[in-house]
Amino acid sequence: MWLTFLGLCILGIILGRVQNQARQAGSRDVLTQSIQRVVTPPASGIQRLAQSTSDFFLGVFQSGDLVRQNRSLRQMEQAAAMYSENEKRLIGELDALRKLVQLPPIEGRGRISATNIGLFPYENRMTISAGSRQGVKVGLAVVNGSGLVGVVQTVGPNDSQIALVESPSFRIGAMALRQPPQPGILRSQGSGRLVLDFLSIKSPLQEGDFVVTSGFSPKIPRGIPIGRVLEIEDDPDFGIRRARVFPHVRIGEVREVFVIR
Amino acid sequence: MTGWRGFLGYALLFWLAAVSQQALAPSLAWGAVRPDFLLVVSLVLSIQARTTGALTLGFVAGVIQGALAGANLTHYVLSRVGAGAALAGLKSLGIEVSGLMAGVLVAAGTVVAQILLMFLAPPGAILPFLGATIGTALYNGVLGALLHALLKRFISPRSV
Repeated sequence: MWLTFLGLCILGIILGRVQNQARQAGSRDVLTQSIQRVVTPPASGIQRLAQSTSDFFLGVFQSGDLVRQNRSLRQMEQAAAMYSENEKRLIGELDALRKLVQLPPIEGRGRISATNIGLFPYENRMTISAGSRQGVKVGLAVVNGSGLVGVVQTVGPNDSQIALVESPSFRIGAMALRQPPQPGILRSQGSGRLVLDFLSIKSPLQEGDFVVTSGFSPKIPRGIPIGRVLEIEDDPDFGIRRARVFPHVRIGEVREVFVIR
Repeated sequence: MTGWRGFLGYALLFWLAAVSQQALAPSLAWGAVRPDFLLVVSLVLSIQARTTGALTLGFVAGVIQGALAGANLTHYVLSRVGAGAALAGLKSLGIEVSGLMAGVLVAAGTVVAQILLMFLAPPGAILPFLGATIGTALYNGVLGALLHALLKRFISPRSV
């Protein structure tokens, strides 16, 4: 018995190492890929079926509410269309200004739609239904309507693993939206605690400040909402100002997402 | 179930558990408490298995679980193999396994697996994790008792 126990433990350690090596190269090991290929497609089908059945019964029992929601959503859609037109106009103006000061225009970013097909809260991971075939690459930002959900960690042909914002390994350039914007490094301390470190203790900040991505990265664009500053603390020994950030995205409620490429 | 038929039967059960884990577990969750179908299947089958079989079933459950979560395979394999060993240890005490006792054993195995996982990959917040572990153990215990009753008709004891 002990020999088998030891053998299986050693095999487990070897498999973990192979997996880590593959992950460092931005891909997945053969074993993980094979298991996901065998399990994920039927699981997605069953998930869609269960969702449709649940939606059907929800529609039957809550038709009144749904009609009201539908009206409200139509109004919101009209407002969003106006917003979108404004956004296009402002981007045009920005490009024109960039030309004036001879800066290269920012390339337009596309987005890939995907669905959350597996949430692993204790691993701070999510699997989404888009992969390399749809154009997903390692390091791209994943967002939903509320803001930044996470960053693509590994990519398969038709699905990808996302390291969530709350993952302890997560680090990203972010800034508090003030005049002028205050850039820093955002990291997670686990269990939903996000901390934004500023290099200067004199960074002007206030509780409630809006925190967005800084865009100092070729893969993650500027301005994706992350959360709001909850409290500010100073570390005079290291000359650092820290802000605790409350994330906008409620991970348990994430379903549809976009990968920003 | 023995030989090829047994192997295919176990493979099918693990596949069903893995698909259910991805497709149904999130919608069957109560807050952070969610069923762990792979652990339930491996522990229920381990009840009928010899010690080596119980360890192997734990290994298989760990590999599948780790691969699906995209998490470190080592952590899942060691915790599940550890749960298999604990279950084998409990069985060696000569416990008569009834439907209810199967549920208790599955719940105990779940607690062992999750506690081992907690030491191998410490979660951000320990107390919520422990709360979720107790809830999951109860959930798994109920599912384990039902699955044990169902499988009892098809699997003879000591067949792995």
